[in-house]
Amino acid sequence: MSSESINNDVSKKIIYCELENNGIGFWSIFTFFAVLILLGIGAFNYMHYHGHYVTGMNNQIVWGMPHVFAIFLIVSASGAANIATIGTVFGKKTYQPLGRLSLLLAGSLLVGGLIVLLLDLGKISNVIEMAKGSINFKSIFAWNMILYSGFIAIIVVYLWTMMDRIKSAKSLYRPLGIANMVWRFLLTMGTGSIFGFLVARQYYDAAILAPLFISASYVFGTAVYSLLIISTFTLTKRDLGNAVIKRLRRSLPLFITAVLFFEFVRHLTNLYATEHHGVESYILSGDMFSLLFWFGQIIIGSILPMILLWGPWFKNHTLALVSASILAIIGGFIQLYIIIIGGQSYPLILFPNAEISSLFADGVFNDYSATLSEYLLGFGGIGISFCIVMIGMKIFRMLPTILDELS
Amino acid sequence: MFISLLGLSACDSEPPELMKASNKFESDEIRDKHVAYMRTNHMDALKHKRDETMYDGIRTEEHSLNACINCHVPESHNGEVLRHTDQEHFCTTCHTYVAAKLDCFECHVDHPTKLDYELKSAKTSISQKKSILKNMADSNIESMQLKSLDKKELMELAFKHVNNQQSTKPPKSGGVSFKALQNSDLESNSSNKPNQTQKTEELTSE
Amino acid sequence: MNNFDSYRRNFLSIVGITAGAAASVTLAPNLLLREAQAKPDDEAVTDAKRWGLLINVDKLEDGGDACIAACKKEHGWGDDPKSNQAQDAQWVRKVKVTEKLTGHSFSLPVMCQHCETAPCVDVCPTGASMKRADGIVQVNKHICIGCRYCMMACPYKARSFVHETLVDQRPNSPRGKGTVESCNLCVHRIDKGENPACVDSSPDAIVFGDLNDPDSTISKELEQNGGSQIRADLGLNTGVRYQGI
Ligand code: HEC
Ligand code: HEC
Ligand code: HEC
Repeated sequence: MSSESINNDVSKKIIYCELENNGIGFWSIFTFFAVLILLGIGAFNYMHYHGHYVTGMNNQIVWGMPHVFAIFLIVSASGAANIATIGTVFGKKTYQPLGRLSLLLAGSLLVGGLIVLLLDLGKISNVIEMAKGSINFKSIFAWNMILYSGFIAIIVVYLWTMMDRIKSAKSLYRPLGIANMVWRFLLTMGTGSIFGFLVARQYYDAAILAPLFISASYVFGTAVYSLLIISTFTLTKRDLGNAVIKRLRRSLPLFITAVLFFEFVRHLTNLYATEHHGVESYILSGDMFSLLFWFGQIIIGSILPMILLWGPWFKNHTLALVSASILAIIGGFIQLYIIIIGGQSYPLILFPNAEISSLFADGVFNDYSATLSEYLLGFGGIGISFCIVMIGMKIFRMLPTILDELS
Repeated sequence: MFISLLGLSACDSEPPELMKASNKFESDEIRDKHVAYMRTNHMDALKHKRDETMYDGIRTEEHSLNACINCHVPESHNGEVLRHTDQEHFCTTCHTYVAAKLDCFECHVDHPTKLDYELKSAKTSISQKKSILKNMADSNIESMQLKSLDKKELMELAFKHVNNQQSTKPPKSGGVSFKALQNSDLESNSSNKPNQTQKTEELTSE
Repeated sequence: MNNFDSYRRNFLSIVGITAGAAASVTLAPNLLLREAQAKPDDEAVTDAKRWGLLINVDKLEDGGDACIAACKKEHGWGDDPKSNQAQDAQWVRKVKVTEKLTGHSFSLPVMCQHCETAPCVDVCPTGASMKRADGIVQVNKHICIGCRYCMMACPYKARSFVHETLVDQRPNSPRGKGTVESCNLCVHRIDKGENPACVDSSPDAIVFGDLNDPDSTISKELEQNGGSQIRADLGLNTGVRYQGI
């Protein structure tokens, strides 16, 4: 162990340590993510050189698979920081030693997501014009840019207060925890509002998307974080201990319940409004999206994890948490796919009570099938996130060597 | 080492030969002013003009990108359209030399087009075509598909029609202006523009 | 000769006037009198005017085919070689509407409706999606980053994204890969005092003019016979109005 530091908040001594160089293990995983990045760069070049005609996106489905990936990463970033918040703001001792990694993960996921979002733009060179000041502050997008960069700034300072031993750092620790929590709320709400205020689209245009995204962020973030700590602790042969697993096992299904609740309310209110009947039946009892909704999001993504975690059969099985997390991530991904693609797939209503048709796909359900380059771009974003996480864990003291004794 | 030497020698050498503008200024003085101004300021001038046009709808010729192209890029070069991807293209020659990226031609057409807007605005629009045809006493043309008429055919038709109608008008201006129309449409070489403008004034001030 | 005179006035104010212009004046003195008085080229547009279109669907015999063709020709969209049909740009399209209950059916051209409170303008992060002082909604492609948020926001699906590299665009309508575009009411023509291309293609069915001016043909017609908006429930106060829908 190279050196140690003492967490100010916990009376007991916690020993943090960089990842030791575990030779092949570390580097092969790192290489895996690095290859994802390279493939992503390749996909980006391909898309950028040819233009978006090489993707499955078109003038009907204007946002496609890259956006699903990007929004997934961004939303889970917000949720991943939740562990730190609980440790700091609510003083949960079990979570405190895990706060650092939680912030590192949050920052990395955000960066990965933003890069995917950026690389999908049609004309990236004009982003410089934005930096020069052409920003429209009425746009939720523009607000989100501010929220995202603010989030990263807060994370950096917050991390510093956790890791530095000087007095000022200690005094800022709690305020920053609170700031981080509030900021996260705004950030996820902002991300949800990207869709929430689109009057044009039947499936969006509902303020409830904001709380839905907030609760979803807890699910995604907790699931990703659980996978990350379980795998690192196992791979570095550190002892994770039961207390943390127990907490995660209890909170993940709670968050899933919250998502289900908001989904339920959303669909119910939509069903109440006649104008939304069409899109609701398209999503809930149509073809592909209904299949995705009921099997993907509800059964695989929600019910199964809940059974795995709450059921009496798998108590204290790490494996149950791992598989539940994986399922929750898949379900979350599908949820975003339904919201983003499904919402666009349903045609715009130009004339209520009439059937419309044109050569420009009016009045029909729009098809979308993502091409390989879109997937690769998305996975590139994941690669970026986890490369950053791994480098971070390698050069900073992110994780405690042992957790068990704290519980 | 070799590369850096190359770089150095490139710096020392004279700027590349630029393609001569196809249109001339009225005097050498104006040209020299233009050269001096443009060498240092064309980027700002273009961007300023760009915003003026986009936001305020200002459509003067001055610093208009289309005007630069019309003067500086020939309609054809060795029998082919000269594109901004060719080294001979006025803007590209210099921009490659100074290694400054130029993305304007992703959208803006990089060579003069026959459908120059002054000429175009003068050209008969479809409604005008319709009314011309409606007025034609002699024609069985109405049965023809208006859309399928190409420019030249239409000009010929209109020409015939005008000649019929013009008998009530002073023959000179009608005849002249119409020849000019044909000219401008089929050749649209802006070098004979001053000439045309003059004739127009003649016509309109009568 | 009245028409002729007002014509002359319009034309005189155009810089770079050509003999061709004069010719079209002489050969068709009985053309419609254009309402759009040309502003001087160097004068900025103001909000004194608000341009609008009134489309009479009943009089539009072909449901808008002619004006779509004219728009394609004017702006050069519609056959980008590599894009598939769903990706190809569509500034204006012919929509066939059939009422479910009555079976009554009609066709109309749908394009950018030039909303007063345009959702696309609100959502654009860079301000590239803009409304000019005279009510024309257009994209300032010089700062458009191609995020397509405006396409998500538009209730009329009026916007298209350019999916590929283009060459040989129209000088007056630059279009290029990675930016969003839509009907701009032919700003370049309006600024010269001309009608949009679609209006010239169907002069009997489409009226173009200043909605702020109570004496303009379009305002009078609207006052007398009214004109509806598509999705009036959204309260966007569109500049494009329809009769017969
Ligand atoms: C009336 C025609 C005309 C127009 C319009 C015009 N130019 Fe020129 N420009 C000339 C001529 C003539 C020269 C002198 C060199 C030559 O004969 O080619 C010149 C020279 C230049 C030079 C200096 C080249 C050198 O030798 O260093 C630049 C740069 C330039 N023009 C840029 C522009 C730009 C940018 C625009 C548009 C805003 C523009 N010009 C519009 C005719 C024109
Ligand atoms: C993404 C497409 C796009 C790109 C790239 C682009 N423009 Fe434009 N430009 C336009 C459009 C669209 C107009 C508006 C034309 C109109 O309203 O008539 C325009 C208009 C202009 C005008 C005013 C019209 C004229 O001819 O004077 C200028 C000047 C101009 N652009 C300069 C530039 C310059 C300089 C660049 C390169 C730095 C550039 N543009 C790059 C799309 C583009
Ligand atoms: C005599 C050489 C020369 C010629 C000819 C020339 N340019 Fe430039 N241009 C430059 C230089 C030098 C710069 C400045 C590059 C920089 O600042 O990095 C520049 C910059 C620009 C910029 C700003 C680029 C930016 O990214 O801000 C634009 C736009 C531009 N030129 C357009 C044109 C157009 C259009 C033409 C052809 C009509 C043209 N230029 C011809 C030398 C030239």
